[in-house]
Amino acid sequence: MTYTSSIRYLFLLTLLTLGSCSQDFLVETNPNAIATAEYYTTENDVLLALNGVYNALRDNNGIAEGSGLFSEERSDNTGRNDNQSNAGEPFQFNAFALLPSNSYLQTHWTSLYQTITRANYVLAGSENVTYAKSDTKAQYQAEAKFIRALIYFQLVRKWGDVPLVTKPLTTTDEVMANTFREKKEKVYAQIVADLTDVINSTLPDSRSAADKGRVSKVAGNALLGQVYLTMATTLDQANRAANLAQAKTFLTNAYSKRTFGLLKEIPYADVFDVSKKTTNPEAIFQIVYKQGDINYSSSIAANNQAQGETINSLKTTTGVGGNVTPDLVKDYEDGDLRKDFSIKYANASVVKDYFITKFRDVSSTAGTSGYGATIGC
Amino acid sequence: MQEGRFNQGPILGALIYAPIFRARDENGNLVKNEMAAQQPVYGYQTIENPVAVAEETNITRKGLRGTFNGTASYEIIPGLVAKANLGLQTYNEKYEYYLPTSLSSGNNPPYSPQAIAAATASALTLSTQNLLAEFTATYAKQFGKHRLNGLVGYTVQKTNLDQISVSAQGFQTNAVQEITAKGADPTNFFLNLPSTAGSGVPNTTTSLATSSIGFTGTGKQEETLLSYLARAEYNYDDRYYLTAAFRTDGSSRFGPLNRWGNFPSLSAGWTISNEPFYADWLGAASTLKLRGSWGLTGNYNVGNYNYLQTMNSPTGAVFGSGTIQTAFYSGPIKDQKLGWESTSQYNLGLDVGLFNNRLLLIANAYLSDSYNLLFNQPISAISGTTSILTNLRNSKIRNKGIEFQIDGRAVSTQDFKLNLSGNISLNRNKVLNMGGANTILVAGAERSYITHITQEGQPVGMFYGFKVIGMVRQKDVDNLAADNAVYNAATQSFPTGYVLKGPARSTASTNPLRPGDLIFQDVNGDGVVNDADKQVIGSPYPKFTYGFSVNASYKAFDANASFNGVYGSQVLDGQDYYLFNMEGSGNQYSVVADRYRSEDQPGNGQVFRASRGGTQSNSTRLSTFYLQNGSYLRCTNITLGYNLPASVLTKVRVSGLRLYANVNNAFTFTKYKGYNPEVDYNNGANLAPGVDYGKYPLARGYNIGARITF
Repeated sequence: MTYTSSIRYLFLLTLLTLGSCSQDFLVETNPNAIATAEYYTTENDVLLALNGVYNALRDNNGIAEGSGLFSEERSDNTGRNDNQSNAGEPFQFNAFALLPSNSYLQTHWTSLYQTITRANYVLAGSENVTYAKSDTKAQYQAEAKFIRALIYFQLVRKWGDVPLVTKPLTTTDEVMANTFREKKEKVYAQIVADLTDVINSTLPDSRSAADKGRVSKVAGNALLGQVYLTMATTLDQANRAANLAQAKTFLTNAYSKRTFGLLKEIPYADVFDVSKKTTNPEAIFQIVYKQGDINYSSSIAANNQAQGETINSLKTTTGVGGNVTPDLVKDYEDGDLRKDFSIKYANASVVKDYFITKFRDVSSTAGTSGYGATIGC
Repeated sequence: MQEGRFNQGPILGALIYAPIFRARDENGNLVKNEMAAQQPVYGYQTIENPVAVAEETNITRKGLRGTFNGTASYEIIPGLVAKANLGLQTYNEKYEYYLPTSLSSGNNPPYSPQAIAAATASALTLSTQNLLAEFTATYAKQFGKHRLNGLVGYTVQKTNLDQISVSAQGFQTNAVQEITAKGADPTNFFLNLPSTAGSGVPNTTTSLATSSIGFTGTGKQEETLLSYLARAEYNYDDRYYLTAAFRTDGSSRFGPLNRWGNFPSLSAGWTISNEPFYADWLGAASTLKLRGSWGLTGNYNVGNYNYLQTMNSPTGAVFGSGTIQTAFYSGPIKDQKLGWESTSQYNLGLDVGLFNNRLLLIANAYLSDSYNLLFNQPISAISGTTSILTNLRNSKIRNKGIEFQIDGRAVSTQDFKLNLSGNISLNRNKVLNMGGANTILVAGAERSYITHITQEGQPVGMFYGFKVIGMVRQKDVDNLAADNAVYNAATQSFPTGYVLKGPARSTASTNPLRPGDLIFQDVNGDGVVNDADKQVIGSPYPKFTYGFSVNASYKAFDANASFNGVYGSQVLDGQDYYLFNMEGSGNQYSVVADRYRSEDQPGNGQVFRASRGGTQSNSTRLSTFYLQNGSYLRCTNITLGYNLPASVLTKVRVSGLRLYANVNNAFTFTKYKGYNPEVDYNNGANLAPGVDYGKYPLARGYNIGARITF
C-alpha cells in the first residue's frame, strides 16, 4: 500500500468511526438536578422530600399567610377597596364578582394541587427505600397524608366536586385520564381515610418545641373532627347525626390531649406572641417562620400595617394595610378583649380606616424590613 | 439599565414621574425622593427621580469572545475532496449590578434603613465553549454541458455553559460597589438560582441578572447536536438547475424517542433568458429566471433537559424556633416524546433584469406550514404544574406571503449616480389546527390580566378583550336606572327575555356605570359584560412591511438614506395602566386633559372619566381603548460622505481617505404615543407579541468618521 493511499483510507476510517459513536453522544442530563425517578434511595431522601411538602404550605398562593384573599376577604371581615392599583382581579373575591379568568383564583388552585402532588410523590417514593426503624415509614407517610387531607379539605369546601389524585401522574395521558371532577362525597372519603391513618399512626400526640411545625396526632384528630363537622352540615343530611357524633369523638380526643387546663388560662395576646410560638400549648398545627430571615420570615404583620402606624412592625408601610370592613368592626361587642388587640383605626389621610393588628412582630430582629416570625395557620 | 416597571428601570419611571418635580437642583445636583416622599399625602406612585436611577445604578457587562479554527482538505481522487474543519468558540462574560443606598426605596428616602436594606450588588460570570467538527466530502464533475456537484458529510457539535450568579446585600456605604463589601449576616450573601414558580419561598433569591445568552441564575448546561447531510446539484448549460438535499439531525434537547429529525429539500431553477428561443424578449441584455423549491426544515429552539423530570434545586422548610431544614421536591412533569418541530415550505420566485441589469425586479411567494409545534401546552393543575413543553401533534400553523424588491440605477453618469431601491412584503399567519390544544390565553403585560388569544382560524397571539362601542352619557342614566330595577345582582343577570334599555354593565366592577364610562360590546346580548363577551380586538401583525433607500453620489460626495416601515399593526401599551389611570398618582398622557368631565365638557368622546376608585373602564379590563395604531415609517440611517480626490491622496501617501457623518434612527413618523411602536416587552414570546412596557427606546446615534486605506 502506498503512502498516499494509506492516508486516503485512514481519512475514510476516521469519518466512519466518528460517525458511529452517535447514540451516547446525544444523551445529556441536567448536571444540576437528579432525575425524579432516581431520587428516592435512602430514608433521608424521603425526609427531605417530606420537608418539600411542608415547604409547599409556605406558598402564599396556597394556604400560607397570603391566603386571606381566598378566605378572610371572601367573608365580610376583611377586604379591599376597588381602587385602581388593586383594580380588577383581587377585588373580585370580596365583591363576589369572580370571573373565570381571574388569575389569582387559578394560581390558588394550582398551588393547592402542587402541594397535593408533592405529597403524592412522597407517598409513592417512600415505598421504595428501606428504613432503619419500621415506624419511620409510617410516620413519614402519616405526615404527608395529613397535609394532603388538609389541602383536599380546602379544595372540597371551595369548589365542591374536584379532581381526586392520590398518586404521582408522570405522563400527560395519566393527567388527562384523571382530569375530571370527583363527587365531593368521594373526596371527603379520601380525606377521612388519610386522617384516620394519621390518628392510627405512631406519630407523637404533640410535637416537642424543636419539631413545632410538623404534624402531630392531636392535629390529625382536630382536623378530622373539623372535617366531620363540615360533612355534617354540607353533605347528605341523613348522615348528619352520625357525622356529628364522629366530630365529637375526634375533637374530644384532641381536646383531652391538651397540655393546659382551660382555654381562658391562655391570654388572647399569647396566641399571637411571636416569642411564645413554640411554647403556646393552644397551637395545634402551625407554619413556622424564622424571625429576621430574608427568605423564611413572615411578612403578614408588616403587610397588614397601615400607613403611619407602628403597632405591627418596625417597617415603614404605605397604603391601607390589611383592611377591616365596618361589618366586622361593628360585630365586636362592648368589652370584647379581642377588639383592641385585633384591629386599630389608622388616621393617616390616605387610610382613615381600620386595619388588622393581631399579627405583630416589632422585635429588632424582624427590624425595619419587617422580617417577622408571626405564626401562620 | 433595566427595563420593566418603574421600580426596576428608569424608562417607565421617566414617563410617570410627574413633570412638576425636578431632576436636578439649581446647583446641578440630583434631587431625590421628591415625588415618592409625598406618596403618603397625595397617593403618588413611589418613583425615584429617573435621572438619578439611571446615573447611580451601576450596571456593566463585559464579554470576551474567542474563535479558533483549523481546516484540512485532501483531494482523494481528482474531483473528490475530503475536508475536515475543527472549530472552537469561547465566550466569557462578567455582568455586574449595583443598586446603591443613595436611591429611595419605595417612599423611604435615600440612606434610610429601607434604602440600605435594598442596596444590592450582583455579580455573574459566564463561560461557554462551543466545539464544532465538520467532515465533508465533495465531488465536482463536468462533462459536456452537464455539471454535477455532490456533497456528503456530517457535523458534530457540543456546547457547554457554566454560569455563577451571586448577590450581596447589607451595604452600609457606596464606597465599594462590589460583592465583597457585603454585610456580615450570612443571609447578606446568596446564590441566584433559576426562578422556580411555587417554591414557597419569597422571590428574594432570584436576581434579575441574566447573561446575554439569556440564562438566569446559576448552573451548568451541556448540549450536543449531530447532523448527517448530503446534497447533489445539477446544472445543464446554465439553463436548468436542480438541487436535492437531505439532512438528518439529532439533538440532545429532545427525548429518547424523537431525538432525530429528517429534512429533505428540492429546488429547481430555469434561466429562461439563456434559452435560444428567448431572443432578448424583454430587451437587449435582459435576464429572466424562474425559481421554485420545496423543503422541510426543523426547529429545535427550546431549552435543554426538557424531556426529563428532575428534582428542583433544594429549598427549605422551617421547624421549631426557626431551624431551616433542607427540602426537596420534584420539578414538573416532562414529555419523553419531545421532538423536532418541522416546517414544510414552498417557494416560487422570479428574477428579472432589464436595461442591461440597470433595473432588477425580484418577486417571491411562499407558503409554509408548521407541524408538531413546540409549545408549552397548558395542562391540568392536578399534574402539579400549569404547562408542559410538548409537540402539538396534528397542529398546523400556516404562513403565506409575497415579497417584491426593485433595485434601479436611475442615473448613472460619470459625475452623478442615483440608485433607488424598494421592497414590500406581506405575510399572513393563521392557526389551522391546534392539534387538540385548547384556546390559549396569555397574560402579556403587567398585573396578570389576559391580553392575547391563540385559537384556530386566527393568527397566533391576537389581542383579546372587550370592544369599546361608545361612552355612557347623561341620556343613558334613566335607561340604566330602568335596567337596574330588574337586574339580579346576586346572579349577575337579567330575567330571560328582558330587552336592555341602557348600555350593558360589566360584572368585573361593582361600581355602577356612570356618564363618562366606556361601553363595552355585549357580544352575546345577555345584558352583562363578562368573560363571554371578550373577543379578538386587534392584531399585533402589520398588513405589510416595506422599506426603501436612496443612494446618490456626485463627484467625490455621496449621500444615502434608508427607510423602513410597517402598516396596519397595533400595539398594546401596557404603560397605559399608569399613563391613563387618571387617579392623580403620576404623569399622564396629554390627551387625558381631553377626557369626559361633564355633559358640558365631554372631551374628545374617547377618554373616559377620571376616578380615584375603580371604574368599569380600567385597564385590567383590557379593551380596544388600550390598543394603539402601531404603523410607522422610520428613517433608519442617513449617511453623507466625501472621498478625497486622488490628486490630494498621492501627496499624503495614502490610497484612500473617506470622511463621513451618519445618523441612525434619524426620525420616525408614527401616531403611537409611547417611545417606539416596534416594541416587544415579551422578547420574542410568540404568543404575546406587540406589548410595550417600560422598554428601552431606540437610541438615535450620530457618527462622524474617517476611513483611511494605505
